Amino acid sequence: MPFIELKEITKVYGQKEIQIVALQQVSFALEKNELVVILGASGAGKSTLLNILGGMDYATSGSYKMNGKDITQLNEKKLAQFRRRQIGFVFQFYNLMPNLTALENVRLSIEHLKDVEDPKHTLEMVGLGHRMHNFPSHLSGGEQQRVSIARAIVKKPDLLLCDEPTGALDSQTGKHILRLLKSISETGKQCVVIVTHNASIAEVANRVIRFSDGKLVSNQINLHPKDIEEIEW
Amino acid sequence: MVKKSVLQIKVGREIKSNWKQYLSVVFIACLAVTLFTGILANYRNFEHQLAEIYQSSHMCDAIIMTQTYDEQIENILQKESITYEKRIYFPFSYENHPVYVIVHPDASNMNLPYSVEKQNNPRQGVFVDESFLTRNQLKIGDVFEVALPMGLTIHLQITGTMLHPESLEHTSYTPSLLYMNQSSLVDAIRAQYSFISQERIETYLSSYVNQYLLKGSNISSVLNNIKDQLSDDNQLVYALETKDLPSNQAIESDVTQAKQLIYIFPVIFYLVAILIILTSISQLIQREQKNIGILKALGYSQYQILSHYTSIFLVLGGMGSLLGMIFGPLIIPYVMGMKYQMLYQLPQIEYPFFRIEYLISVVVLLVIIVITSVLTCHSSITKVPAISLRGENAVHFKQGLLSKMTWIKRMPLNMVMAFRNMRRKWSRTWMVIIGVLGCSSLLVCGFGIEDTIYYGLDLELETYIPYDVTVSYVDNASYQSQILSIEGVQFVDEYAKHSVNIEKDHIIHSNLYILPEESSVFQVAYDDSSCLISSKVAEEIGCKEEDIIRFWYNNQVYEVVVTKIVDFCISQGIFISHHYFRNLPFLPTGAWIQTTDASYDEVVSNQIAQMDGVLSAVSIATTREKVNHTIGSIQVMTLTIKIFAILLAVVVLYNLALLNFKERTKDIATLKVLGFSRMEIGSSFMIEIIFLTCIGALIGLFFGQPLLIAVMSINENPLLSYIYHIQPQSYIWTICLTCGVSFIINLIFAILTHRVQMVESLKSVE
Ligand SMILES: Nc1ncnc2c1ncn2[C@@H]1O[C@H](COP(=O)(O)OP(=O)(O)OP(=O)(O)O)[C@@H](O)[C@H]1O
Ligand SMILES: [Mg+2]
Repeated sequence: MPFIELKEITKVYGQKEIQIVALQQVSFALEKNELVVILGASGAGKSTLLNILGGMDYATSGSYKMNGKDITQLNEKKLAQFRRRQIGFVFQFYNLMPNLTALENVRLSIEHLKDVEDPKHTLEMVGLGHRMHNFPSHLSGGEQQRVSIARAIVKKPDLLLCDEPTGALDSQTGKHILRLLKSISETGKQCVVIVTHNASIAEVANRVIRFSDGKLVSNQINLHPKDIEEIEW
Repeated sequence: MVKKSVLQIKVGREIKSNWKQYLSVVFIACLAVTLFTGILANYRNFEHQLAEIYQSSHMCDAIIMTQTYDEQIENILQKESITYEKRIYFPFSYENHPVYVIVHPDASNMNLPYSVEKQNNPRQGVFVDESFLTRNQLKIGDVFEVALPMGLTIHLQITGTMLHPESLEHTSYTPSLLYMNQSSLVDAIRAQYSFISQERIETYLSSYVNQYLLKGSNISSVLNNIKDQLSDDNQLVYALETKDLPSNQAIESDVTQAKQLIYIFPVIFYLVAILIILTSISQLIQREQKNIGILKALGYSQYQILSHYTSIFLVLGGMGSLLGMIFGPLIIPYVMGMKYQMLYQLPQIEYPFFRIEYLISVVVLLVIIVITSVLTCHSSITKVPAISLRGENAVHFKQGLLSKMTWIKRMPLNMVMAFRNMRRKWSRTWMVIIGVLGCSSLLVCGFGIEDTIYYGLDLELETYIPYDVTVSYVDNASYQSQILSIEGVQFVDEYAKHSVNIEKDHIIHSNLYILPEESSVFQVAYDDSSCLISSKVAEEIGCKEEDIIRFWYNNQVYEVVVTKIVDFCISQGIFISHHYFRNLPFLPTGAWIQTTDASYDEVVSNQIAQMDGVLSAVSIATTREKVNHTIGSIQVMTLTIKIFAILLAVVVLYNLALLNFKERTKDIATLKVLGFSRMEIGSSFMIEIIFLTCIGALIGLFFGQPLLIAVMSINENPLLSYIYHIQPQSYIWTICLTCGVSFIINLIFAILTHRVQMVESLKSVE
């Protein structure tokens, strides 16, 4: 049984006249200890897929199973618990709490959770040990993005979903973050999914899924992922 | 048509798309103006009614009353350079209700009745008040019998009904007034006793003159002059300026109250209006940071941008206050007028719907709005565009202070967020605290008004003088044994009540109650050589227990020690045992009676009322009923206060909750993504509101009593004195109501968090 199993997921936005099919009959399976990269042009449906994987949105049809449990059948409350325990989400647009410091933003995601990383240590890992007590408004875009990453990985989620996690980062920091995400996928307990426009990132992934106009066009396993140092940013 | 500028269109769109948030601005502007113009209208209308009646009746400046005709007073008056008028005044009882009769000269030009039937000549005929007719089922043109003090009985035909400036209080609580000119009386006597010549009757009547109406300048020195010249054996009862007459004092104090109310209540609402506008503006400006930057980049001037944002609030405030200007004069005078209608008989006149003062109050509010918005916007608008363009986040936190406060870090994070929010949005925090404070103090005041009145009444009618029937006599003779022989009567305490001057630091006119040496109804202990004093009188003359006070009675000055100050609510004055005056005969003017059982009350009072020499006999149930009638009108007022208080709380809490909710939709969505439950998310928002509600409500409790005293003290009237008292349950009710409002609003918004769409809210940085 695969860790994650999607069957014929379809997502349609809007009702009646103006319908936008964001995802069409998408099926694939993912395993733990995989680093998955999802590629596709803007508007291809990547964020939509991530939202469904993260339990933030319902699919119009199809089934989504994690460890054999049907996520599409969960009610609001169970879904909230599912997000809290199993999902780590890095947003495309950071979404930090403006009135909490960096450290507190990280702590926010692990309140009431056991078996988590030390938030300070996590911030140090993303290279923000010295800016822990700053508020988001005093951080640069890239720093905010890294806080957002720290907030997602601190809880050691089963499924880590990253929407453009390196979009605002320079090549040096970007590679550092990528290495971090890679190492997370290599613990053997977690699965990391990265959405990106940056095709070179795909070279380090175990699996690359390509989207176009809401349709899955390819799903390749990369048997020999490149080392992060080798890729060109 | 002039083409609208883009910015004007933006004002319209802004209001349209955020109308929910601006609702509170419109609402509070409306509330504030409603209250202000309403209370002002109430005062003006009331003043207007009084002016109408005083002017058309040619009210005199002073009244002198004597026991019987006193020639020397007339001699003195002739020497003084004032105009005066003589008249006859006597009480009689008609159908067990006291009636005062006034006979005025034919060519009278002072204190004329205000004739209800416009065609009547007020100087000619027999006038009574409306309630005299309804009570006795009489109508205009009917004939009824009057016993004159000269021992004659005559028949009078009622010419018309009137309002009279000397008896504006409703006659269910006070004696009725019968007003006629001398020739009407002469004619009536001649109709019955035709053998007496007209001249004889006229000379006879002139020997009954016992009142003088005075008109002239410098009236108080004239009165003192008269008092100084009087010999010791004078017949003077009182010589008072019109404004010092008890009946006028009551109504004058109501006028002052109506006037002072203009300042007490609306101030709270104007203050909250400022705060609500302040918070709404700062919220808007914060949201619009980027747009301000864009407008600047496009080359708009600071002035243009400022006037753009200010105009939004001018439009909103203008709408609200115009509504208020319509509602206020329509609703408030109607509600408050109920009280006056029940207490007084006043002429019905048309009021102007609009007064220039209303417009001024609206303009004042609008000016306040402009000043507030300019001050709030100024700092944001003067920033360089690059900083504005960086958006909302640029204005947020001060770093140093907050990170040093280590105690904050140990709290649960939702508490941390709540506290930081309160600190950051100080104007919003103050708005809620002051609004809730206003609400809870108004509620305490509203409840306290009723508590105070009932407490004083219960104290007097159940603890101090628990009578079942109260009787007043016409002539000063004892009826004790007669009353005791009636079935069902258990105890009778006869007392004498006289109007006297009492002095300590100040001198005032009040009552002297002479109590029997042994009392069984009157429950406060007293001895033979000292006096009890009611707390209101004690306060007015400035005396404490053990002080010595002076009073004038029966042409003699007495000095007596005060043993106890008693919280009497209805009976005002000093209380002394008859033993103290043992050289004088005891001439009771009334009695308190206790029956063996409450079921006898009505029977006993009816029987006593039939007795000769009894002016009236009223059972406790009837007294209570009359009091409840009066209080009923006050209850309408307190209900209005309570409703406005709750509206105030609703507005500020709604505003806070909505602002929080709008600002933090994204936070809510993030928390949802992070898997927080609805309760947890809701509670992080509730903490702030509940915390502020509690603080505001608690502080408000302390302001309740001072507010109560401020409202009631200007409402002092001679009918009742207030024993300030607020029941614990009133405080509990206040807290429950305030927190209840807060809770309901919270609940609504907690439910709304459910509707926040995670995916949509988090999509962009906007
Ligand atoms: N709430 C919505 N209502 C209607 N259409 C939507 C909605 N959200 C997304 N879409 C549409 O669905 C399609 C997929 O959107 P999605 O956000 O998944 O794209 P994406 O691949 O993440 O693009 P990008 O790389 O620009 O982030 C787009 O055409 C978008 O216009
Ligand atoms: Mg996207």
